Amino acid sequence: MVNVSTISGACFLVFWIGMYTYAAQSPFAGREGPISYDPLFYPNLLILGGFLLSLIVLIKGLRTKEITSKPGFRAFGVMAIAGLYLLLLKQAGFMISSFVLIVALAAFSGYRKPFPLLASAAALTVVTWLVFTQLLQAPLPAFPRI
Amino acid sequence: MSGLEVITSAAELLFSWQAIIALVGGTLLGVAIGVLPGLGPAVGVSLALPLTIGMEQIPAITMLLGIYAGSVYGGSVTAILINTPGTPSSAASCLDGYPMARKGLLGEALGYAAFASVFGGIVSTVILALSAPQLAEWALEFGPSEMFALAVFALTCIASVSTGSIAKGLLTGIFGLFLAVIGQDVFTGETRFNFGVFELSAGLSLVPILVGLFALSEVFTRLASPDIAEAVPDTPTNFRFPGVSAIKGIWVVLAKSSIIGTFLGILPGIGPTTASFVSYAEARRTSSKPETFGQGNPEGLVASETANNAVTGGALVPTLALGVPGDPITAILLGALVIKDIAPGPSLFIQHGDLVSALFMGLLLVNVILLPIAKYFAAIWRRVLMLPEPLMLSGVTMLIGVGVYTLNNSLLDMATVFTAGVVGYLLRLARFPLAPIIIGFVLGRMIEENLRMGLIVFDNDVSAFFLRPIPLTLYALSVVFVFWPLIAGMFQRRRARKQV
Repeated sequence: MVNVSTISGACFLVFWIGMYTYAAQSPFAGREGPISYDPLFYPNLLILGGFLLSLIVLIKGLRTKEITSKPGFRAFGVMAIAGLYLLLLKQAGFMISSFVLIVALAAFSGYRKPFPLLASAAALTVVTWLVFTQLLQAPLPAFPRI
Repeated sequence: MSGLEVITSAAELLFSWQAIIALVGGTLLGVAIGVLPGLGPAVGVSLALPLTIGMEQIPAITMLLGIYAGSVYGGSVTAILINTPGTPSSAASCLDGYPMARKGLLGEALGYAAFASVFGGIVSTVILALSAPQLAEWALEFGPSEMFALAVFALTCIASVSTGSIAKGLLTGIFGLFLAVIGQDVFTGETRFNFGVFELSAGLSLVPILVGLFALSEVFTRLASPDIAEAVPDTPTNFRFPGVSAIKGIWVVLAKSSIIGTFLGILPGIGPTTASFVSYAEARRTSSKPETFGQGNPEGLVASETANNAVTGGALVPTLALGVPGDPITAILLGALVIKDIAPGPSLFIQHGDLVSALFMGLLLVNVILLPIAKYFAAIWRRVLMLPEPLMLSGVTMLIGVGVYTLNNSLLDMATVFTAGVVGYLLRLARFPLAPIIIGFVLGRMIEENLRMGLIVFDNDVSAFFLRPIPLTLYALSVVFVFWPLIAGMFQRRRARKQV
């Protein structure tokens, strides 16, 4: 069975190959002159080192019977809620998005007491808003942009 | 400036009401973060970093130092109360701290832990103040080849001693170095690896990467597989500091553990967890009652807590004197210094002597105010431990979002923190260490600049990098660090064969 080390080694290999291909297509690839002034000299060194190490991780993964946990449904759910919040914070506004985030994330993670949940979410949102806007003078988008 | 003028100027910088509020607030916040299991100093300092963006230099740095030292101490409270270390560095404190609490000595255990933490923190700060300027003065003579070798050595050490295999550590270190390549080339000004995204031309920001890697990935890990919470005992705290006669009985352990913690803190990658276990083992080895260790011997608790707090000062020695961080937390502090227009390294002590002195005094003050905080907030930490984890981590996610948003109001930063969170979570699952990514990212520019500057100086002769004594020694040490597990394994096999 393929283990997580093998998969991660393979993912890193694909990453370094992708980076090398991208570097090879850049306008300053193959430019003549001293290596100290070559913008790709150092990145290519890193790509080579990364490629070799990924290969070692992949081979070691294939040779060992390592048991590692896999991300489950709950992990993807948590990531989806957090990701939506981070990407929509500016558009949806701080108040609504933060309140919804706390309620949704805590409920999804197994917290099942509606009144304390709603009260804590409202209090946390308002206190954070006050700390950032009044104490730290950091502007936040209060409500959705219409 | 004379020595006295430097100290007066430093005191003026430190004793402003903003700096004092930031210092006390940071220390309180740090202890609270340390008390919460899983949220260690790295998460605390990375979460607080965005808050410091609008602050002056000294309040911002003292707040982060307060969080750093406070959270290392906070971990011991959880270890003593519920036998679960609040931070990994307090794991050794469970061994004797929890049995003391079970024996009805909860207040005494908390008092010993606080006193030992403060003692270790103060001794290491004094060593930092005495040794860092000397190291910086010596390092002033370093050229590009020495600086390059030093950065490579630090990264190799951290990658080698991190959890997981060496290959995984080195791979994540190179990944961190590569992330630092994105953006403009330091020598020609040409944009590299921006993938057609204009915002990437300025490179990736440190804060979203480290908040994502350390804080957000921790939230994902904890919420994806929640632990069953330990019951918090409802016995009264009765906090009590050790008396004079008790201190007389532990002063040798205090002194030895402070030295062990500071020395191991100076070495890159070792960290407070190893320091506390080494110190615990040494205290047990030299104790007159080694059989009582693990059954509530205060010496064990003192050894662990003194050493892990002494690491804070030790880890700052290479960070301030050489600009080379020894662990993720000092890497974050280094990033904070850079954001505040303070360039750590040999010239820092010449250019900003008053500022460095203010930082030393700030770290001393953090340790001193830990004593009243430990005593008067002891009952509150029990309540903090009762917070439902899903609710607490949802709040942390909100703080991550808001903190990163307020940096630049940038969608790229938000995407970066999310991507770093997901990558960090997946790397944790595959048992890759995360610290080398941050160290690599922080050291990336320094490594490239010194490599290419050295090539220019040595007329593109790569061999010149290996012909000087300091770089040669550092490369040799790097090789030993990388291959040490293989060498040790070989010796073990040979010994086993001989025994057979």
